[in-house]
Amino acid sequence: MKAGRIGLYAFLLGAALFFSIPLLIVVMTSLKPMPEIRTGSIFALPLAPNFDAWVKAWMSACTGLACEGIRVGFWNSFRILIPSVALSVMAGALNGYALAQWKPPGANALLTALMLGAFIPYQVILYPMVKILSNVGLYNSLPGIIAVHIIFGLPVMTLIFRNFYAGLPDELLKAARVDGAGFWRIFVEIMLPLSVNILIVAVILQVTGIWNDYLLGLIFAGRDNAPMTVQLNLIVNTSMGEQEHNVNMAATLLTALPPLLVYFASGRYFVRGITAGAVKG
Amino acid sequence: MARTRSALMGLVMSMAAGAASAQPADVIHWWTSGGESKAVGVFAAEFNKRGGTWIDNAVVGGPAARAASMNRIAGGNPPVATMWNVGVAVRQLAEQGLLTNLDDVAKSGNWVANLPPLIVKNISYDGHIVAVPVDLHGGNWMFYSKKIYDELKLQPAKDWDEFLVQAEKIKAAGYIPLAIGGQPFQEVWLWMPVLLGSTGKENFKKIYADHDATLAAGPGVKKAFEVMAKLRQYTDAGRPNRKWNDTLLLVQNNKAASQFLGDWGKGEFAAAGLKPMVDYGCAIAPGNQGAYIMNVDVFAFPKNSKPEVLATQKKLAEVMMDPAVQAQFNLFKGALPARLDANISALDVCAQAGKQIIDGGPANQMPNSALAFSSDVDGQISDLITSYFNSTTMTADAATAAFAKIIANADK
Amino acid sequence: MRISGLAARLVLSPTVLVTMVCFYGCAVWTAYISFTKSSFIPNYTFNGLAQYERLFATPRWGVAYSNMFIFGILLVVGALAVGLMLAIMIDRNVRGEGFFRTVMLYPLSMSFIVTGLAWQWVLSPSIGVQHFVRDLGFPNFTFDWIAQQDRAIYTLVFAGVWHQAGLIMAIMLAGLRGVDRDIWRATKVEGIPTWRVYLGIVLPMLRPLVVTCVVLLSVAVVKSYDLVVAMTGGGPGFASDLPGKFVVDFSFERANIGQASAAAVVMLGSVFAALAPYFYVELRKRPQ
Repeated sequence: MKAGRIGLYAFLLGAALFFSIPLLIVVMTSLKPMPEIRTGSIFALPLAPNFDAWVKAWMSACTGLACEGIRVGFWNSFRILIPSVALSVMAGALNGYALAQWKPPGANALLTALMLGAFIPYQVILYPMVKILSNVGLYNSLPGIIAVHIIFGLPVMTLIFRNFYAGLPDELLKAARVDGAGFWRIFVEIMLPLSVNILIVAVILQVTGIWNDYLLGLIFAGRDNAPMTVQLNLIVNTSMGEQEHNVNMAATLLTALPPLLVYFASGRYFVRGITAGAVKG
Repeated sequence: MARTRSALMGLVMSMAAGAASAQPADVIHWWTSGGESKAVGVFAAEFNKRGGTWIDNAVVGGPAARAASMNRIAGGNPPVATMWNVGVAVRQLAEQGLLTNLDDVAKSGNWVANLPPLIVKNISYDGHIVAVPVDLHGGNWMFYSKKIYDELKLQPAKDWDEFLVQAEKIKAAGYIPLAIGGQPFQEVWLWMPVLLGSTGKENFKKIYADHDATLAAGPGVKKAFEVMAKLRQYTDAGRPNRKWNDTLLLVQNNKAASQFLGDWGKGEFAAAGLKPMVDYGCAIAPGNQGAYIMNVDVFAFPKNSKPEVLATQKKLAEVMMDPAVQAQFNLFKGALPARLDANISALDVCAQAGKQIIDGGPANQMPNSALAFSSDVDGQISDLITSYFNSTTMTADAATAAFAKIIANADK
Repeated sequence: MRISGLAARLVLSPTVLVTMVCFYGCAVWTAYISFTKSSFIPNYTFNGLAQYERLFATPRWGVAYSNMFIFGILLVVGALAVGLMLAIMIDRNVRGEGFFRTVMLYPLSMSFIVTGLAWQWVLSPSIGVQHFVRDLGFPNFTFDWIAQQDRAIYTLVFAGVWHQAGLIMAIMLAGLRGVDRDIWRATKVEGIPTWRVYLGIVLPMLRPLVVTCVVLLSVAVVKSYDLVVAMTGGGPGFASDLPGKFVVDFSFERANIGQASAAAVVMLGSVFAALAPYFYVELRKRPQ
């Protein structure tokens, strides 16, 4: 038994190492000065770690002509993130509730249609989406990119909420209807309080998906609302003479920080939420 | 927060220009590397000086930038100016009626008389001038490490056979003979001077500009593919997906002996403080003497219904085609001005040598892929070259046959 | 009864509209374009199957298409295996579960524009693992898959599994937690070896979750673009190209949306054909 335990831990630690190698490299490189990066091994620990590259990435890295750092994109990403996450999660919750508990005719068909729709990659429908959005006057604007994120989030969001609500007993709904409660009252007073875990799962998925999005932000948000990922790509590909790898890595970490923090803080809820039947087949 | 700041910036900039937010011009381009950004700054500064407001809209990567422009045009909110690919690509835009005609600006600026004929042909559609060429890059340069060449007592090779012999010596001395990044467009930059050096400049022009399929199946092309296969063994293992400026570092740091790319490489050397023919060497590629493979960057001006935007576009075009401004721009860009009457005395030794070749007339002025083919055909050639260069099984005969087929279908 | 049903239908109607217009309407538009002469902007001249003929004659498409299945199957199997194994191990009452779970999950939170370069460095023969091990004193150690035409696609599998295995692990862990502890007690009494319990009893119970994981992973495979661009650029040559990148390249860089649309139709058609049976089976099984 003991040998088995040791083997278990050895395997897990080995796996943990494999998983963390890219992150470690990114972090270590961001703490080294350029001469050390040029001559040293990528796996070596920094000799004298300093945060100069981080400061430069935040304050003064160049994204094309402007050299304002990546902070510009940071606020843009937030302005896109908050409404998009809130609205897409709400939409998914309402849809899932309606489909699972009220089962209108055609519910299964809609669900299948949505699931298949999840597979259609953005690139394929970009051009018609641009035309549609510009016809309603939303192209290249903040409301436009928010609308796009909501639309593309609908399949997965509806799916996970639908699965969750389908796992709740029918008696809940029946009893409430007997008491005379309608669609909205049941949702607010009964369903929502039960959904805390699945809401957190949905929020985590949307936060990481939307924060890390590059293509949609590039095409639909417009220059003034460019999210951090677009700025990051500009920094990584704007090199004053030489690729400043430490600045690039620091900018990369700054861009990854919000979703990383969300994960560290709420990983436990994520597992709990899945346990609550979120993704049951 | 970002909105307030950019509004503030706009205000400051327009105050500096002496007019309240006059003639704003948002310009989409894909110049994001060191020397390129500095060069764009020259246009921006001059435009602002003349009363305009340059709004920079850099998008990483040509395809993404062009996509952004196309989407803006499709979305009814076109940029004032957009960088574009010269040749078939810009003619396709004009064909759809999407571009402003620049005939009056061209006339008053005397453009046609001062541009190489191949360029004029490629910025025109249906008799009208529709794009502004801002530079004339030479695509068949070889940048080499003076240190390695001096140490091994080598001179830049006169033809590819000599280059291969030299490469063997360099390899034996422990250096990388040929630095290249494993990306299709870099492999194509190597291919063009190899092809030119193997078939000669008249045949190269016939294949590229005239789409001569018989020549494309001929022995010159086969030799070019054989040379490419031999060159492969003189590259280093770290080349997969490596960027061109990262690769150039190998030459800068004297680890690799040479790299083949256009004169835009000089910008990276300059940003590192290195001087041509002092700290590094530039020479026309082996077998390419007396020929200049031209690569031209152009700006196009999407049609706009508002008359004030039209005036802004014309002013921007004037700025970009001003000989003095072009000369200054190209100081940072590392190319020659597209205008043949620009004063290039401030440009470096390599540029002067390039100008001499160009001044030799149309016989020396070679088209690159963009001036010769549509981006679709260009893509097919690129797929073929990259697949061949990275393959250990494809024969030169098979590659030649495939190449000839592409050329034969190039106009369909 | 009818009135309250109405509210549900009203709530769903925007989604129905959006699904019809944005997803299916646009997909139908794309399918239509694949039968036209479009090049860099839409041109509605009917062109029959010409785009498809050209597509199937393009060597690069053949490579990309077969790569989708190689990469897809390896990624799904790999991520499932790794995720499941990790979940089983963590389920056996290890300490530091929070730490392990976080380490395995974080890759999902970082986009490939971010981590692609790190992977490229690790796999590069000149500065990565091969160089490192050789320095340690093994001069003949070779690990240059990323530079080999027939091996490059497997490097994508590495990075893909790294990205997704944490999610699979979390899902499987939740499923394992749902297994009744009585089963363990009973099988211990009976003396049945642990591995047989997993294989014969526990895994079949997790089948619905496995199906879900397959769906999520398949979506990721089909949409793969960032991963290819950041790591191999589709190379060497086009040996590690995937349909997602092929479509984007032809839409933008090659300015040929006719070809891009044909590729997209073939890609989506294949995926739907492969997964439709899954959905059908799954939907029928769901507790209604």
